[in-house]
Amino acid sequence: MDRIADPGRAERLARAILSDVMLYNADKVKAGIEADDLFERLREELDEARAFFEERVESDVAARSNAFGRALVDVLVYRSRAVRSRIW
Amino acid sequence: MKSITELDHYELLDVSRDATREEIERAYRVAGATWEDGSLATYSLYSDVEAEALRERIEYAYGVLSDVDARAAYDAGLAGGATRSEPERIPLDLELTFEEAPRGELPPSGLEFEESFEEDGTPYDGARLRRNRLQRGIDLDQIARVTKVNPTYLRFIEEDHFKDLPASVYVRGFVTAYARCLGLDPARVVPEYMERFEAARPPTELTPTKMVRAVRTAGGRRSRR
Repeated sequence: MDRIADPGRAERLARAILSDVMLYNADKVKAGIEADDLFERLREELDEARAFFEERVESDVAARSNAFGRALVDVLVYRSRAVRSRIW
Repeated sequence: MKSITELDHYELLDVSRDATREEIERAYRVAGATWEDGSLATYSLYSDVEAEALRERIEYAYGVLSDVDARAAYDAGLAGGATRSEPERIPLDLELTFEEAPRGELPPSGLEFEESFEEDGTPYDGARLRRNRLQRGIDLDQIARVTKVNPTYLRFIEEDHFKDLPASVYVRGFVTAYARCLGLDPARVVPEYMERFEAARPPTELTPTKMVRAVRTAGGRRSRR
């Protein structure tokens, strides 16, 4: 199977993966935002998500676009802005 | 003569449109006895699968007609010229409206992807469906918006959370819609998924209460109170 070489598609994949992390771990995400330890608290899930992303995307595209990192912030952090936290 | 699938709920239970609650209950019991598993009617006329689908339809019809609010909404639909088989309430034949794909993020049709995806040959279960979805870069909310299936049910489907899913007649529709949305072949996906679902969910779990609950919570196109 060919890996994704288009940055737009790589970004869409990253957002879909992280939307799933959010969906399937809603309580943990909320707790992680509240305590400002989101990435630590979800280390296992995020490692798995990143591995899946990197398996599907050309490595230079993944590195150059930083799609996963941006999606991490957009999807997990920004969508949780209603949660009370010292982050904001 | 109409086929079973063309009958409305009243015709299916063989009661008039102004039947009382008692008349509906009596008709439901008669229909239940007529079409129960192993009866002469089912034995001679229908396969096991067809008989099961028929019993589910009867349960569903009774669930709607025995609930004041659900019946009123159903009657309003009939008066408004809704089709007799009620596709907007029974998602057996979901008509997907891909033009409603959100914000241009989703491919214009679930059938138009630029690449083929891996076929690992294993039966389709929830995990495999989810993997296929993620490979296409589609999140569950997008599937829900396109298929009109409640995202909670989509999630249960992906988790193989069979006991919290509605009756098989609905799940079959949901999985069909899901598969189409991803450009997968429902003729392959649905039987494989449903085999596992039905093995985990004996038909005896079906009750009118669950059917009514399913009507109220499944999908997004039925009437709401």
